[in-house]
Amino acid sequence: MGWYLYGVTSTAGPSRPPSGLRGIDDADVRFHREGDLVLIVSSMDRTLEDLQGADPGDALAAVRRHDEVLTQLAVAGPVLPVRFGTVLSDRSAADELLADRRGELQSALAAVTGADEWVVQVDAIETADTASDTAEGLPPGHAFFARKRSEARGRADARVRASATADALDQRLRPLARASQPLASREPETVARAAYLVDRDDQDRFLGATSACDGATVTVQGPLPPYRFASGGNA
Amino acid sequence: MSEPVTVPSTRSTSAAARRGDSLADVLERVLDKGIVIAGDIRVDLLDIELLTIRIRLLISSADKAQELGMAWWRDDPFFTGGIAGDGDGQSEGSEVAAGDVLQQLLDGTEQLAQRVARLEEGNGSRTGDAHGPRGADDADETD
Repeated sequence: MGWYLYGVTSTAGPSRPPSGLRGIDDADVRFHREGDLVLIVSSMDRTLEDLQGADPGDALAAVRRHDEVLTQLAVAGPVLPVRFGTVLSDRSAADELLADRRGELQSALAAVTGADEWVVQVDAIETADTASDTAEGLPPGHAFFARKRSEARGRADARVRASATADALDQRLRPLARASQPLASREPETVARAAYLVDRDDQDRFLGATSACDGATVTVQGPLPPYRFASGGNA
Repeated sequence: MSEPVTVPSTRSTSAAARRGDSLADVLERVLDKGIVIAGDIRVDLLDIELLTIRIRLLISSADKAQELGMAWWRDDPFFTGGIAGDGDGQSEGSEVAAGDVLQQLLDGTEQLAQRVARLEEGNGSRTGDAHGPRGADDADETD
C-alpha cells in the first residue's frame, strides 16, 4: 500500500489534521513527522496506473480532493504543495525522502510560510453601445459598417484602458507581495493575470490596493495554497 | 486565513465566467504546479501530461456544451419539471461526467421529439394558420 503525498508542512502548524479530513479515495489524511518536517499523506490502495487508467471523472475527483486537502490545511498552518500524482511506495520511502531532501524542503517551505497565493485578473470592460449615435442618418448599409467600425474601436479602446489599469495595479501590488508570477490569459478580454505570494500581515493592504481600479474589471481569487511558489531544486 | 473567496472588486464578472474559471483554475494549479518530488525509484509520479489531456477532454465535453448554450436542458422548465436550473445546479454541471450529459441529452432529445410531435398535431388541425407548416404558408401567400 502506497502513501499518496499532498504536501509538506512543519511542526509550526497543528500537530494533527482536522478530524474527518478525507483525502483521495476517502482515505484519512495523516501527518508523518520527522524532525521539524511533516509529510501530509493518505494511504492509497490503487497503483498510479490504476489512477491513470481510471475514468477521467474519477481522476478529476482525485485532483479536486488533492486541492481541498491542501486548501483546508493551509487555513491553519504553512503548506508546501506537492504536485498532483506523487505516491511514496511505503513508510521507509517517506523517511528516505525526508532524509535525502530535508534542506531543500525546509527552504522551499520557509519561502511560503506565513503567506498565501492570490490570483489577480484584469479584464477589459466592453463599452456600452454608443454606436447608434454615429450611425444616425446614414443609409442602412453604411450604418451597419459604421457601427461595426465603432464597435471594433470600442473594443480596442477598452483593451488599452484595461492594460493601463493592469500595469498600474501590478506596480501597486508587487511591493505588497513577497513574489509574483505572470499567468497565461484564458479569455480574449483578459489583459493581465498574475499570481502573488502575499504575507498574511499584508493581506488587507493587498486587497485594498485591488479595489480602486477604473477602466477594467478586476477579479481577485484567494487565499490559495501557494502552488505557484512551491519550488524545489528541480521545479 | 479565511475560506477562499473570489472578490470581484469593481464589477462582478458574470457567474458563468467565474464558474468556468474555477474548475480550469483548479486544474491549472493542481496539475501544473507544486513542488516535484521525483528521481527516486521509490517515488511514483503520474504521467500528468496524459492525465491532463484526458481530464480536459472530459471537461470540454460537459463544459463546452454549457458555454455554447447547448445545455438548454438545464434551464428549460419543460425538461426540468417546472424547476429551472438554479445557480447551484449549474455549478455542478461542469463536473458532471460525460455519461450523465449524454444521458441528459438523450432524455432531452426524446422529450423534444414528443414535443415536436404534439406541436405538429396542433398545427395540422389549424390549417390556414400563418405560422403553420410550409404547405399551409404557401397556400396563404396570395392573401
